[in-house]
Amino acid sequence: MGKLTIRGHKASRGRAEGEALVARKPFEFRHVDHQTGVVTLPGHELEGQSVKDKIMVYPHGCGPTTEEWSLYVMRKSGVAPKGVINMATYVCSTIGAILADIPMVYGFDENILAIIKNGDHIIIDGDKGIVQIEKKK
Amino acid sequence: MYLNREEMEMLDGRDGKVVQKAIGLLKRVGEAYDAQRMIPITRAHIMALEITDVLFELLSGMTKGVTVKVPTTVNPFLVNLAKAEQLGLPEENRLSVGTVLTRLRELHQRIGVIPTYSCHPHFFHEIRLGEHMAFTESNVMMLATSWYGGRSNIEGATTAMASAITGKTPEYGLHIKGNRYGRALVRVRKEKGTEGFDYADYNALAYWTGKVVKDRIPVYLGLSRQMKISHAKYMCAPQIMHSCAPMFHIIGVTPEASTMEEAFGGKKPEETFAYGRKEREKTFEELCTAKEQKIDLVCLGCPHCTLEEIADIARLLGGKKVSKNVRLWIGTNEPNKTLADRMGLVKNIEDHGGLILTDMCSGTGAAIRLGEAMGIRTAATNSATFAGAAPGGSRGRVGVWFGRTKDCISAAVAGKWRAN
Repeated sequence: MGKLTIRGHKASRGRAEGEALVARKPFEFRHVDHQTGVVTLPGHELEGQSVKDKIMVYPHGCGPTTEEWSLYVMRKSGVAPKGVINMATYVCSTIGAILADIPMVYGFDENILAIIKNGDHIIIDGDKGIVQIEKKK
Repeated sequence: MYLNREEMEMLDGRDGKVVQKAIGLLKRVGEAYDAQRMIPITRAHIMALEITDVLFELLSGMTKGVTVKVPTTVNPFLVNLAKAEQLGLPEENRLSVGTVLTRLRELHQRIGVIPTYSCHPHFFHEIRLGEHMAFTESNVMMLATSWYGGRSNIEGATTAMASAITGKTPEYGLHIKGNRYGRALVRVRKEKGTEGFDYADYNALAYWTGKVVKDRIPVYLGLSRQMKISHAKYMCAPQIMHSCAPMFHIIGVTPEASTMEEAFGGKKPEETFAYGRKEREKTFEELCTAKEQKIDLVCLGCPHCTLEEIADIARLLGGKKVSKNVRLWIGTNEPNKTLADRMGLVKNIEDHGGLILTDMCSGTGAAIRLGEAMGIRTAATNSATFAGAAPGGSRGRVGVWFGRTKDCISAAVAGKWRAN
């Protein structure tokens, strides 16, 4: 099966590839244990799942401004995701990706939540603002 | 992005490595939003909460050998260790948090920060409509942009610090008038009797609104024109809990929304929502996560109380004693406490078992992060910020009852939530 390429806006530079982990609701890394990379908020749609080395896909970030350094701390503990893809943009999520040196792309014409499913193979290019999707077989 | 000569020199390292890194960070963030240039700022607000050793190293490295270029205020600490005894904070916790607090205080003094240690530092900031600034912390930043009409993006601690030491911020987002217009309309139904709105009602309205508007700036229609900053203060952080739109307008109240046309920039709302009794009840219910009626803490002043709120609390307490099993914490800043003290309010509240706290984040900071160590399992509050942050922040260990201020005070006296 071929790859689907979609274009967004570059937010944080770098290139990475990995498996998609999709949150359908606005997401914040505050709800992830920064030492283990596991989502810990009781009742959260991703409770118990690890974000480590994933390409995180969600509508947009939200929450306290401390969202800014969640990714940085997770990067230091070796449990950060490899990339972040958002539809809308939350400034503190962007600063987070820049501080942690993790590629991030946002703002697509397509509804990425309808296109990308858990386990799809994703290549994210934060220098060009391009995302390539290879559907899970 | 265009940089002028001064900014180019900063980027070239002529003002040292620290300034070079700061302007470099601001440039990268600006590029993420197609900023065309840097603009000068006149004030900044930075963070002091949730700073671990790793983050202290980051901030310390960012400020080595420099001072702030604009008046810069700072958010509260996690805890005020001078009050540790009255808070019931065990010795081991005092030691574990003490080191970073001392180092942070020294850092702030060294770089010239104004030590407000408050999430309501607006007594210091007399913001002019259209003034460009760099504020972090959702509550402080959103009040500055929405209530005063100041222009700041929702900065992180690092970008706010970078702006404070360079005096610059990239021009994008809320610095540009065209990005400040409302996109979604929230009609607050008249049936609600908005004049009777309590602080908790403004909280719940903003929390609900954040969920429905998603990334769009909301415009409220139907709120009382007599509403005050004490009310608007509760509409900030709850909105951002599920939204990424860091601003709001209130028709007839806030400075960029005297009419619908002004608030929406002549366009039509993309979507209209109605908030009434049903939405209010559902939100209050959602924010209550407590399992037990018996409470250990009543937490008010999240964000920090205005003088008016402290007077309200004293009046509601009305000479009754707080139950001996309950702690009543009231967070505020030093200037307000000084005035409340002169008015006899501090003595009045503290003689009846309350505790006025300054320099610390009693709600989302101490009660959540250190709650378990202080024996707090169930708290009551009029703050959606605290109520919404408790389940995640305490990993489910602190349950919260969310309600109006008078219900919180009744609970403090009875020792139970809704004793009647």
